[in-house]
Amino acid sequence: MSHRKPSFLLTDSYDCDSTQSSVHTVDYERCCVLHCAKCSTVIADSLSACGEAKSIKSIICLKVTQDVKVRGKFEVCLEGPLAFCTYRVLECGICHRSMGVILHSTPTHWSSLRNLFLLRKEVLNCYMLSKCTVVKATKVSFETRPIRKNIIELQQDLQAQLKQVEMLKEVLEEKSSLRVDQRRVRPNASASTSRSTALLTSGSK
Amino acid sequence: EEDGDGDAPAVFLCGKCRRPVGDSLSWAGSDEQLNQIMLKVHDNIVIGNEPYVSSTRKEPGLVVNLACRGCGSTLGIMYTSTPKELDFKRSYFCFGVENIEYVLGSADQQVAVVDSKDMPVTLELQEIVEQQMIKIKALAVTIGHRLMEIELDLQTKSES
Repeated sequence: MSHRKPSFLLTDSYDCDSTQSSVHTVDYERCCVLHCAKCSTVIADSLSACGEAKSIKSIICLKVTQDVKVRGKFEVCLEGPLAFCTYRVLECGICHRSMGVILHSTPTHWSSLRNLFLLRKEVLNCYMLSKCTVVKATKVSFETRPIRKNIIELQQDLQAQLKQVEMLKEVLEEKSSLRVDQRRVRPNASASTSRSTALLTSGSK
Repeated sequence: EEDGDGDAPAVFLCGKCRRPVGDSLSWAGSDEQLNQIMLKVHDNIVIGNEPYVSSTRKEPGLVVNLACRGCGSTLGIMYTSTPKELDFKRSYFCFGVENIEYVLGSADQQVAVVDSKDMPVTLELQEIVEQQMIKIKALAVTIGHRLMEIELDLQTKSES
């Protein structure tokens, strides 16, 4: 019994394959292509979408197609959600419909959106891949999901495990020192074993 | 066709009005001799209701025309009845490759300088991070189980 192979070494199956982690698979089935609602020109796709600016009902995009033209003139807004921002208007290169804006200078709350394409949802259609359907962009959500909570949870899990490992290490150290003691003083063996068992049971909680 | 840009799928557009007619995720095959690609069904296509005899092969089959729902221009054909050699085309939408395609991720207009530090996180990248987190969590659970087993093992050893 004392030298039996621990049960966890008998099973080769690991629930998680570490080799898989290096492969980043994009779920293309959930992707969509953004088209101008008027002339169907491709404007962008969901691979370059970074989220949604709800107050201006716009999709935030890192990249757009060459069919999107940036008007040269800077404009200023003094009221509404984009108050005190300077921006340039984006238009569809084919039908010249206004598609949204690029913010150039902004108050603090908009600074993270500078130099990104803000495309108005109401002038866009979405072609959903795999479903093969065209829907209004206003019906599709491009919202980001907060990730901080997940990270904190994971951190707590890992810290709890670290504690467990440290506890096990302590137990092992104690056991090995006990073994040395046992060799020296035979009669006391039973008392010290029961002590280490008590420690182990408290550890498993 | 579909391998044009890595593994990214392509969306096929009507050559005239640029409406999307299908994408390579619903790929059903291709016929290189006739420069045709075959896709599964899609909403934006009107299927003709007058079958006629196709004369492109020695053994003819019955085909109907496929038209774009937006502009009505002919996009391709669909075999409704085929001889054995053409069974792979039956009921699929056969398009000519001359229709425009847009490969996902090929949009390349970007505002001048966005350095790597200020690079915004795309929804796609967020998804990848989330996937990785799920994997790490699963791994943590596995490690937890293993630790518990070690603990129990030590316990039984010390009891014996």
